[in-house]
Amino acid sequence: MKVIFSNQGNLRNVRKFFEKIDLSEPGRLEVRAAGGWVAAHPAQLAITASLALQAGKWESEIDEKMPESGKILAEMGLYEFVRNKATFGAEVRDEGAMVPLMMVRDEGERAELMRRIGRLMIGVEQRRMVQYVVGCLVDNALGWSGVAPVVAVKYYPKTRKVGIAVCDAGKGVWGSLDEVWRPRNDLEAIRMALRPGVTGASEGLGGANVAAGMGLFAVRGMAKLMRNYFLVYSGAGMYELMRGDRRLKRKLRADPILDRHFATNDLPPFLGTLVAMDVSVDEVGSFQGMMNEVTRMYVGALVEADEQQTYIPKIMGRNV
Amino acid sequence: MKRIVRLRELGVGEFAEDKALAREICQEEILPKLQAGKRVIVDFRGIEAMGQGFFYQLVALAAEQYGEVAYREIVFRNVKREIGETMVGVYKGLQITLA
Repeated sequence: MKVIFSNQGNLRNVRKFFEKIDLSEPGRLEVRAAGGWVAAHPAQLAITASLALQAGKWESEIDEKMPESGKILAEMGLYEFVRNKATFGAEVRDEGAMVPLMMVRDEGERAELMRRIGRLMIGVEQRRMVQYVVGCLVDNALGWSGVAPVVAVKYYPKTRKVGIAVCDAGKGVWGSLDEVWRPRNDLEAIRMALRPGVTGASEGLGGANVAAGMGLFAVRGMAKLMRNYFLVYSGAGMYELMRGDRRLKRKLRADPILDRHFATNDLPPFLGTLVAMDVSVDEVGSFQGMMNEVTRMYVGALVEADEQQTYIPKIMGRNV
Repeated sequence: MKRIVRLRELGVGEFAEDKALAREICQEEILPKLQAGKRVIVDFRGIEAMGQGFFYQLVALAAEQYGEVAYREIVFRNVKREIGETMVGVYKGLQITLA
């Protein structure tokens, strides 16, 4: 396998990076740079680390002729997934600006991940948003793929964005939904998974007590409300939510195809699932307010499907 | 058996988002009280924000096993207004999905 980093490190143009991934010879991974400048979004780093895990550490290598700007790969911990060491000087990691690549295998590592996100130099509401998104994606990966995901988070102070990526080398979205929903291809599976109430746990909208089918829908919803990029790449399929138009009212739709998007089913077939998004620090007002908006949309979609009488929770006394 | 479940004392942070912990609290604290025929009071004091998945896992198992009894006998207190709105949404969704 071959992965080529270039000077394009935004989620906006990450599609070109995916198109250039060479998945032949799955037992070996080469990482190199194209040109003299290397930029990397957590999405690119997380999928590269997942491929290194698939190939094995001793069969994975980063080109020694990596330009100086390639130190971002060292700062974000990519060298820990390959056999060779970085040729750059001592790496200095700024804990307030990044959570380097880490595998999350159990509850203990999940808690450690949340603590590291808590150290990012962003506001309280923004931190909650990042923790919520990462928590949802990690729980999904642990619950459905059966493989420990790789997570990376990076804060870009200049653009005031937090890049998030969670990638697992598991059975992919199609593999998770095939038993119950029978999607025709990877892209249709992704489209289904992004709808509210769809889960591999049960037929029909909504899951059993183990899953509500809301996690991925809610994360997409948050990206939509923040007018940010969000993508899912699994198998040969990729869905990318494009940035919303500021002149239009932010509105969530149940079917992701109705939002401004790019979708393809012709990428190199990646055995696993990558979910990535950006969180704009300035677009997060109140996390709970946004959570409520997404929850209302989720319920609306379910109610449409099943009109019936519902109870509301009993809350004692005055709200605090 | 005390019937009050104080979430902060059970390891829930000010931002409640850990679904596995919520499910554990449901199994260890809420279900036994419902089993004993008691009304359960879940105290949200100190919880500043909450993901919907946390609340879903906190009540889903009880709702599945006890149905209407769970909706009637689980009571929440010291809930911030915005968190209460999330709860309402999750309750509605829960009743549709588990019906």
